[in-house]
Amino acid sequence: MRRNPLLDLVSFRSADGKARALGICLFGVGLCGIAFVLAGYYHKDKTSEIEANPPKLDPGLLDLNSTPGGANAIADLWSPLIKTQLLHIANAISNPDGDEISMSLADRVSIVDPQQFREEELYHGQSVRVVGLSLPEELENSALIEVDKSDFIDRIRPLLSLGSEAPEDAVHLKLFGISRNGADLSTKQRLTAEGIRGGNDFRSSAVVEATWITPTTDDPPQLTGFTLTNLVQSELTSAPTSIFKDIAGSVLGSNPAWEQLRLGMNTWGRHIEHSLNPDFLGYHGLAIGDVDGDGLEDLYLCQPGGLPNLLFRQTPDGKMTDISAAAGVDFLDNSTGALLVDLDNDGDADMAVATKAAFLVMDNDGKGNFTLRESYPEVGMGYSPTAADYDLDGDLDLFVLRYGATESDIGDFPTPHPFRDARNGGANILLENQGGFRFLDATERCGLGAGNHRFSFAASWEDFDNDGLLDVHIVNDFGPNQLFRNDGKRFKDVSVQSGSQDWGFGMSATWADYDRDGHMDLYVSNMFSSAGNQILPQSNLDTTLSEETRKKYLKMVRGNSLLRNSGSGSFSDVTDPMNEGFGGWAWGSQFADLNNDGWEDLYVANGYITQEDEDDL
Amino acid sequence: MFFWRRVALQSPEDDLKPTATPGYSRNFRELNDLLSRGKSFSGRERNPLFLNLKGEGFAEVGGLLGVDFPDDARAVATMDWDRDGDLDLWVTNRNAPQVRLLRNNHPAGSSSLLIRLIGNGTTTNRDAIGARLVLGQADDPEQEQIRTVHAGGGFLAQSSAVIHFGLGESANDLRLSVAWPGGKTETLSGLKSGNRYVITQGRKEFEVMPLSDPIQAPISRDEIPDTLENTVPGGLWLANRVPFPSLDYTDNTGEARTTTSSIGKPILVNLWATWCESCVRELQEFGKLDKFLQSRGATILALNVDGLALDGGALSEGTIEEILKRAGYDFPHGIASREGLAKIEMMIEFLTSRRESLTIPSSFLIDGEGYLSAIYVGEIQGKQLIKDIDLLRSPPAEQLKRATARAGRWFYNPRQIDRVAFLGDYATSFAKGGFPGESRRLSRMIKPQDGALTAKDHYNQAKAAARQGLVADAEQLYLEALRLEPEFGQALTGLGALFLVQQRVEEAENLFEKALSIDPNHATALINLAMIDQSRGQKDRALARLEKVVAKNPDYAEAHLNLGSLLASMKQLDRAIFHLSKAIAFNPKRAIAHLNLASVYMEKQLWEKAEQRYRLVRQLNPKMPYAHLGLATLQARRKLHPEAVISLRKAISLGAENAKSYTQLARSLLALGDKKGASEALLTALKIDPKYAEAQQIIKENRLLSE
Repeated sequence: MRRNPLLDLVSFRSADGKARALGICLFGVGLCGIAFVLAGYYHKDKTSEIEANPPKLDPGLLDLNSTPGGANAIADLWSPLIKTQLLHIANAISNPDGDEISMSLADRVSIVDPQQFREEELYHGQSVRVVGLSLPEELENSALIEVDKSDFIDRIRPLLSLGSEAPEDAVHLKLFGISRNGADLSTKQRLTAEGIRGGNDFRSSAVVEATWITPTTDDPPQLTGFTLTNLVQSELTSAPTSIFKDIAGSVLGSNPAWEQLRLGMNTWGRHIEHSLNPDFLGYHGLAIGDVDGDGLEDLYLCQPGGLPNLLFRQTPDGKMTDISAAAGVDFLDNSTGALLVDLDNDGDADMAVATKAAFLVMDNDGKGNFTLRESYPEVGMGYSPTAADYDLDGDLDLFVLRYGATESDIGDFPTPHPFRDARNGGANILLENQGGFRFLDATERCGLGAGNHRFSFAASWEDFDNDGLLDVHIVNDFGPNQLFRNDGKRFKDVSVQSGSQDWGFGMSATWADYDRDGHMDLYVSNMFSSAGNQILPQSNLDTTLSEETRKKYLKMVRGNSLLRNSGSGSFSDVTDPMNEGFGGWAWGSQFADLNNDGWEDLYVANGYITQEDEDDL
Repeated sequence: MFFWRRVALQSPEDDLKPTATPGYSRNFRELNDLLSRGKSFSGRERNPLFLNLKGEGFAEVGGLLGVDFPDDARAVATMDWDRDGDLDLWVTNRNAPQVRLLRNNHPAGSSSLLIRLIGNGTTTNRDAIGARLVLGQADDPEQEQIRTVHAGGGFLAQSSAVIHFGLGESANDLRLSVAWPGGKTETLSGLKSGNRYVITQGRKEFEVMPLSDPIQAPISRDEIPDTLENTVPGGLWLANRVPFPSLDYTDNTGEARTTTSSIGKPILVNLWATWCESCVRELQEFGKLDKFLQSRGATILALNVDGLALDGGALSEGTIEEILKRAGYDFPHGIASREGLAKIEMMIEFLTSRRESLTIPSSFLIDGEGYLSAIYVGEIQGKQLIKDIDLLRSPPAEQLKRATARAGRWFYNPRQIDRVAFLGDYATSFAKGGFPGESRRLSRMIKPQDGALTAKDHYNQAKAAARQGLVADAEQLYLEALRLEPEFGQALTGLGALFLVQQRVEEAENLFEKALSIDPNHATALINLAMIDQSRGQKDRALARLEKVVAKNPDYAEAHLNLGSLLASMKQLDRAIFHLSKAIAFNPKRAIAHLNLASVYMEKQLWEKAEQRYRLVRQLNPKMPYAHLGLATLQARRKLHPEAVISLRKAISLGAENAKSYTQLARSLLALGDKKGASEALLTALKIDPKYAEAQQIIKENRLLSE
C-alpha cells in the first residue's frame, strides 16, 4: 500500500504529531512493505522516549566489516567501553588493593619484559633529571613475554615508581586511537603516572599499545596485550618541591578588582546578560608593558563584556595596583587582546585594544593616562594584535586578525566552509603607521591580502630566513596556516613551499631556536583529536578519500606541531606526537628557557570548557 | 529538570531535520545547547611544560614543576616579575581564577642575563620590536643563542619585551650583537651573567643592574571559592529589556489571571514556597515596604510554587494565607502555573544563554510598560529593592551603570542593538519552546518606531507557526516575508514544504523552482524537487538533482541518505550502499539510513548484514515498524517462526498494517500449525486488499476457509 508520497523537509509537523514519510515499496522476494523512508520521519514522543531510555548499542551486532565510515563506528561504539576498562586498569595499577580488575584482563597478558629496558639519561639539570627507557632495536620483537593476569599489575608497577600510598588516580591512561584487528581491537594510549622515588617527586609517561579480545557481546573487552614504549621518567631532584608557585592572589589581591578576577566565566556567564557579550569561551588575553615609565612592567588584562578591562601598575615591592579607571582604559566592552607599544616613538607605551565593536588605538601621555585616538570598526572582534615595523620606516605598524566574517560567526560558533579548508573567514588587516596615530589599511598593497579569508587566531612576526626582514606567520582554525615572507615592504605567500602549513585547527604559534642551530623554529598549538572528533564531520577516516587527503585530515586532528627550520627556507615537521605533540585543546603556547640552562622550553595552555558536569562531551 | 520540557509541546528536533547547512553546523548547535546546560567539553586538561632536552627532544615535566593546572587556560606571557633572573609566567584562564602569576623559583646558581633595548626612535622604533639579538661566548661561536624582540605573538598575549637568556652556568665574557630594525648591527662585549642590561641604539655605554635584589615572595593566598558573595549587588539589571511574558496564575480568590493585566505600574513578581525559609523572610521584608511601594505606585505579586516545585519539600502546615498573614505581607498573591514557570525559564535562557532550573526565591522587577528590568535570584534586600524601584525612573545612563556588576566605561553603548531583531528573536524563542500564543503576543509588541518587522522576522515567525502545526498562520507569514523580499530563499522553500504537506504539489514545485533559479545549488530546493520527481516516477531527473546536491555538499548526511535511497529504488545497489554508508558515517544514529541499507542488503541477499542492520535500527528506534518487518522476514527464512510471529505482530501494532504483513504473519502461523490464527490474519489481509493474490492463494492451498 502506497503511503503519502509527499514529504516535507523543513520544520513541519502535523497537528497530530504523526509521522510524515515517503515510502517507496521496494522489491519482491516477499519483502514488500519495506519503506524507503526519506528524511523527515518524526515520531510523536521520540525525544522524550529516547531521553528516558537511551538506546544502548549492542556492539556485537553492528557490522564492523561493512563500509567506509565503519572505522568511526568502531570508535563510537568501543571507545566508551575501552575507556572504562582503561580506568579500571589505571586505578588498579595505582592502587592494587582496590577494585578487582580480573574481569578487565584476559587470562594471559603479553607485555614487554621490563628487564629488557635500557636506561638512558636524557637530561640532568639543576632541578630535574630525565631518564628514557627503551628497548634496544634488536630486541624489539623478542622482548615480549606473557604473564598471568594475576601478575600483571606487579610487573608494571615497578616501572612507574609508584609510592605505597599512591592516590587512586596516580595513573592515567588516555585513549587516542582505536582500530579493529580481525575480531579483536587494538588501541593506543598515553600513560602518565605520578610517583615518588627516594622522597623526590617522580613522573612517568609512556606510549602503550594494547590489544583486546571481545569474547561475548555481553562482557566488556579484555586486555590481552599491554606494550609500553617510549617510557620517560622524570624526577625533581631539588627542594623546594614546588618550583613554580601561583602568587597572583598576593600580587593582585589587595585590589577590589581581584574579586572580579578570582571568578571565571562559569560564574560571570550567569550574571551578565547575553547582549553585553560576556564571551563564555574565555577569549581574553593580556599585555605587558611599562605604562608609567618607572622602569617596572605593568599588566593589562582584557575582560568579557560587562566587566571592565584592568590595568595594573607594578610597584617596587612587586605588588600591582589597579589604575584602570584613572588611566581611562576600563572598557566594559568585550575585549580579546591588547598591546602596550610605543606607537609614536615618544618613549612611552601606548595602547591598542581589540574590542567587539572596534579596534581601539590610544595615546599615552607618559604618565599612564590614555586618550582614545582612533577606532577601527572594520576590525571589530579582532584577535591577537601584534606590532612590527614591516616597512622599516622607523615606526610600528599594527596587524590585527579576524576570525569569523559574519556577525553570527563573531563570538559564537562559526560556520566554516569547507570545514577543513575554510575560506569564508574574516579578513585580517595591516594598519600601516603614518605617524601621529594615523594608520592606513595597507593589507592589499603589501601583499597580505592574499588568501585573506581564513579563521585567523594568532599571528607572530619572526625573521625565519635570517635576511633581516620580519616575516609573519598566521595561525588559522579550520585550515592551513600561512607564512608570508617579507621581501621588503611587500609580502610573498610562501606557505606551501616552506612546508609550514601545518593543516589543522590551529590556535597559536611560538618561535624559538629550540635546537640552537641559528634558525628560528616554530611550535604550533592545535586542537587535539579525541575531543575534536566529536564535532568533525565523521569522514576523516573515510576510505573513499585518497591516501594523501586522508593523511592530511588525520594530521589535522593530531595535536600540536614542532616545525624545525631547515635553514634553507623550509620547515620539517619533527613532532613527536606522543610527546610535545600530545595535546589537549591547546591555546597559547610559549617558548621560554624556564630553568636557565640555555635551552628554550615550552609551556602550553590547555583546556577548552570545564563546567560542573563531570561528564565531558 | 525543567518546567518547560514538561509543559511545552515537543520541541522541534532541529538536529534531525535536513537544512541547507552541513552537518558540522548542526553539531555546533548541539554543542552550544549542551554547553548551555553545564556540560564540559575537553575540560580539566592540564597545562604541560615541555623541558627542552638540550635540543634532543622534550620531556613533559609540568606536574613535577607545579604548573600543570587543570584550568581552561588561554593566553601565556613571560616576564621576570621578581627580577631574579628567571622567567615567570602569566596565564589567563576561562575559568576561575582568571589569571595566574606563576613565580619561577628555580634554585639559585642557575645563571642568566636580561636585556632591554631602546631604539633611537627615528630610523628604528623605540621599543626595538624586530631587533635580532645573538649572544655567545667570545671564544665559542657554536654556543650562540638567538632571540627576536616581539610585540605580541601568542594567543592574545604580549610578553615582556625584556629579553632573557638562560646561560647554564655563569659566564663572564659574553658578546652580544644587536641587529636594529631599520638600523645597523651593533656589537657589545664583556657582558656578564647575573645582570640586567639596558642598551640604547647608537650608544656605546649601557646600563647594568645586577640581579641581586629580587623581590621577596609575598605569602600567597590559598583557595579561590567560586561564589559571588558580596561581589555583586543583588540582582541582574538589564541593559536591554524585554517584555515580561504573560504568566497565567490563580489569584487568591481562585480566579484565573495573567500578569499582563497588571501592566501600568511597576510590579515585582516574586516566586516563593512555604517550605523555603529565605522566601518567608523575604515576604516579611516586602511587608515592611508597604508605604514605600504605595508612594511609588508599585506593587508586588507573590506567586506560590509549592505544588510545582520539583525538589522541594511537602506543603507545610499552615496554609499559604496564614503564612502571608504572619509575614505581614499584604500585596497581591496567587498560585503560579507550570506554564508560567516554563515561560520564565525560557526568558532567562534567552537573556543569559544559560539553561538552569529556577531557584526559589526568584523575583522579577517589571517596569510600568510591562518590560522586565531586573532579575533577582535569591533573597532581595529591602534596601536594594527600594533603590531599584527608584532607579526605574532614572535616566538611561544611570540605569546602564546598574547593569554592570563593576564600574567602567563603554566604548560602544550596548543598548545600541538592533532592537527589532532582538525582540524578534525573543518572541521566536517562545514559539520554539511551545508557546506560539506568547510568541505572537510578543511579536505584536514590537513597536513600529523600533523599526518595521523585516522579512526575516516574518520568516522566523512562520517557521515557528509551522512547527506548531498552525498551517494557515504559517502560510500567511511566509507570504508576508516573500512580499517584503521576493527572493528570500529560505522562505520560498519553507512555504514550498508547507504546500507539499497539503498536497499542493504544483504550487510547491513552483516555489522550489524559483529558489533554484536564484541559487542553482540550493540543497533544500533540489532535494524537495527530487522528491516530487520521484513521486511522478521521473527517477532519472530526481537522480540528477540529488547527485548535484551531493557533489556540492559532500558532508551533507541527508543528501547522501536521499540519494542512496533513490539509487536503491533504481536497483543501483552498490552505489546505494556507498551513499547510505556515507549518510551513516556522518550521522550514525540515523535509523532510517540503516533501515534503507538493510533493505539493500536484502536485495543483494546479504542476509547477515541485513539482519545486523535491522537489529541496529530496532535499538535506535524501537518504534520503526519496518525494522521488525525486516527481521520477521529473515527469521521466517531461517524457519524461526515463533520469533517471526512476534516481530510481525510488533510491526503491525506499530503501523505496518497492510495485506503483505498480515499474509506473512499467516504464513508463519501456518508453519506453527495455527490454522485458526492464520485464517484470521488472511481475512484481515483480504479486508485491507480484497484482491491480494497471495493471501487468496494461501487460503486455497491450505483449504482454510471451508466454512
